Order: sequence, then C-alpha cells, then structure tokens
Amino acid sequence: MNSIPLETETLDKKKVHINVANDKGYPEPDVPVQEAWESMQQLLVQTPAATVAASGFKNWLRKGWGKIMIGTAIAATVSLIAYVVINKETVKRDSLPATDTVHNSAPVPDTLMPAAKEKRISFEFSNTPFKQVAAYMEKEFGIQIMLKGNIGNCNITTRFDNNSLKEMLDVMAYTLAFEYIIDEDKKQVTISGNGCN
Amino acid sequence: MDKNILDGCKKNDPQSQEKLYRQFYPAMFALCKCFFSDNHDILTAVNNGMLKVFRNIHQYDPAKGELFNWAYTTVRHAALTLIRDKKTKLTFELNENNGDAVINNPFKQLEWKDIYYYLDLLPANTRYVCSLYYLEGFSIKEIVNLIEMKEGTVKWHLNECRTRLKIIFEQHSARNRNIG
Repeated sequence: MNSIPLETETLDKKKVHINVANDKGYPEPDVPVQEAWESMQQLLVQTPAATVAASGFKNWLRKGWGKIMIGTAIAATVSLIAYVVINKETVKRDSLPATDTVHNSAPVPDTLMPAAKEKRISFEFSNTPFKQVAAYMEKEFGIQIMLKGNIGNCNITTRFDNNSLKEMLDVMAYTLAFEYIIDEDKKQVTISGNGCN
Repeated sequence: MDKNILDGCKKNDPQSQEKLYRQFYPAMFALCKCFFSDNHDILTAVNNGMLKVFRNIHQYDPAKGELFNWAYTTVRHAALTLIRDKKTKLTFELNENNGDAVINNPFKQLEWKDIYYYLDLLPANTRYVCSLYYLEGFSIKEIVNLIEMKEGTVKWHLNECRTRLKIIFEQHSARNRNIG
C-alpha cells in the first residue's frame, strides 16, 4: 500500500504556490482581475498608508512625549480660539466687558464648511464618461465642477455608498489619475487630468 | 519578481501596485476559493490580504524568501481572520482519535475544478477546516490556533468532510455506472 507517498506527491503538485508566482498552475478566477483591481483601488484609497502603518506613532505616544506635545497643542489652540473670539466680540460690542464675551459668545461660524462638504450620497456608475458623473455630483452636492484636459471623456466604473464629496474625489482621483482643487468660497471643484489611467 | 515593481510598491506607486496585484491575483483567488464559496467573501479576503501586503511591503525582507510566498501567507492570514469573524459557534466534538480522518485525503486525486466543486458541497465551517488540513497542510493543532476552534471540533469537521464526500463520491460513481 503506497497511499502516503502518493498523497504527498499529489499534494506537492497542488501546492503550486511555493515559488510559482505565475498563473499557469491556477484556474481562471471567477471574478475578472479588472473588477477585482477596481475594488482593490477603492480599498487602497479608503485606507491611507499612514493609518495602517501607525505603530511608530503609537510608540511615540506610549513614550509620553506625544501626550505632552498633544496637550500643549490643545492648550495653544484653545488659547488662540479664545483670543480670536474675545477680540471679535470686543470689536462688535465694545461696551460689554471682555470676560462676558467669552462666556456668552456663540461659536464662530465656519464659513469654510459649506453644506456640500458635510453631505453624503450614494450612487453607482458603470463604464460611464466622467463628465456625466461630474454633472451628477454637481447636482447632488450643489457645487460647480470644472473639468480641465480630456478627463471628462474617460470612462469610469464606480460605486459609492454614503460617501462625502472629498472621499469620492479621492477615490476617483486615484482611479483616473487626476488632480483636483476645491475652492470652498466659490463652491467649485477644478479637476484636471489628461489620462484615464 | 521585478525589482522595479517592488521598489514602486514601496513608494505607493499605483502602477507598480497594479502590476503586482495582477501577477498574484490568480493564485490568491485560488487560495481563498478553497475557504469560501461566495465570490464576495473570496474577493474580500484577497483584497484585505493584498492591502496588508501593500501597506507593509517595506517590512518584506528578500533575504528571508520570495515576495510571492510572503504575500501568499499574508493573504491566507487575512482569509483566516475573515473565517474567525464569520465562524458560527459549533459544539460538535469528536473525542476519539479518528485515524481515518487524518490519513486519507479525499482530495488527493482531484483537479482544482473538482476540488472546488466538492468544497462547495460542504458546510462553511467544515470547508475551512478541510481546506486548511488537506490543501494547506496545517496540522490539527495549528488549525486549533489559527481559527480558534477546539481540537475535538476540528477532528469532527475532518471526519464530517470525509463522511460527506464519501457519500457524494459513491452517488457520483453510481450515477456514472448507470449512464455507462
């Protein structure tokens, strides 16, 4: 009975992964590589390199210096905000004492936070020219999107589920290799790129 | 492995990452298909693993072995993490030492497509254990640690795998005889 040697030999043949990086020994994947790669691209964008390789930062925090630095930074920020608020309120209502303005003042309105920045939407496009996707985003986010170069003619297959404008732009910038600038005052996004990656 | 691809991946260059991904994808898909029947699960395991590969590629030391083997191990680890997350709690245990389950490999004469066909006929947990034992070559003790399952349960799944497949093989043989 030679069942054990036969089994070992057959198993060795099946373990083609060892030092065999080509795809000759493997069956055709059920999911095409292009589709899988597009999914991988989205994962790469959604998980920035810095957050994954955070062990150095954790060590830095653990040593105590991080806590001191962060504490100092928070204290400095709070002081700065308090200083700005006091000054603004003093100019507006110089008849009131400065201490009252600190306690009674409303938060400074964030003019750089338009609704478009907070809004989250979902959509799916399959092999669609990017200009159509941009037009849809303009409508949904209430912004203007300027396309520079040939980027508008590139086709894109993408799906977003409850994502912000910035998250969507990051994913698509990676997929289509374009650059973008957000002008928050004008509620305008300028996208420039020529290739379709 | 092309050194330019490796260097590019270390710099997070998308084109290098794509080349590496396309090169390894068939093998990684075949690996994860041993564990999962659903394409979504397979792709999740592959991409979670490849994400770790890309994010930790600076830790890869060529002196210790091929990049492919390192990536393969990383993707398999990601698949095992997914298995642990999905694993349903089972209480079956096989306390007796069933030698048959350990020695006889039901997959030994099969091609890939047949292996996948028969794996698809097994319950999810039995499939994980069978694949790890018979296809990936892990010992029972290693599987116990890998997927946090009791030794008796692992043995039960191996026995279950063989019992179920034996019945399926017999049914197929009988059907083939009738056709013939």
